[in-house]
Amino acid sequence: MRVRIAGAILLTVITVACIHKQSGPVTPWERVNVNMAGLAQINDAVAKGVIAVQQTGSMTVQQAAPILNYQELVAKDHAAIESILASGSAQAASQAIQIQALLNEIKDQGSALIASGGLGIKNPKSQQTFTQDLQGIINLAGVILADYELAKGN
Amino acid sequence: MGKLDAQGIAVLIGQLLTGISAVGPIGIELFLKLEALFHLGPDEQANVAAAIKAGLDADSETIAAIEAWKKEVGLS
Repeated sequence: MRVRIAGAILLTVITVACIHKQSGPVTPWERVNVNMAGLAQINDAVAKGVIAVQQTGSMTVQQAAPILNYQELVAKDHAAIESILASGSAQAASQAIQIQALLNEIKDQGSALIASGGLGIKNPKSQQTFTQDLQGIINLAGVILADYELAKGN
Repeated sequence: MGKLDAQGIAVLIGQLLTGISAVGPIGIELFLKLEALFHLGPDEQANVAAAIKAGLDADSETIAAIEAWKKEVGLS
């Protein structure tokens, strides 16, 4: 299962770079929203993977809880950003500080979780794998932040 | 993504096959979702609306799965 999660992130990294459009260039606004949706779907896949690993007994509840708490935070922050984005690009631009703060929270909390070593995986090799999973989410949040800056013309 | 030559395409296909063989059903499901998400139609507004819906659906699933897990293990 750990391999599956790491592989999912590998696929994501490959796929994120390939947004295709039937006609015309992909706009910055489309790029922000599509990558945002990708972030949510990756987060969902990793969360379900962590739950599955825990349910097989390969990870204790105490080990899984901080990871899943972070992933729930990502989902809630992401939903908050989506509610702003859904109001349109002009409205989103006026709430830039809030969007940036939420994306930075995703990045900072994820980095803190990795730095704490609180992933609690017994197998050092596996711990590295979960760290990479979380790093993938953090990196994508950084990509979205950069895309968002571009979309709002900064 | 920039244009790929034949060697680049072969490398990409190799990476995809390696990834798919490693990740199993969960990874394939995610891959297909992302593939569908990343193929945009011509209308920007429709693309953005579809992306927002996909993101919010994923958030709802994530939160529901985690909350169900917390109940199951006695954390909520």
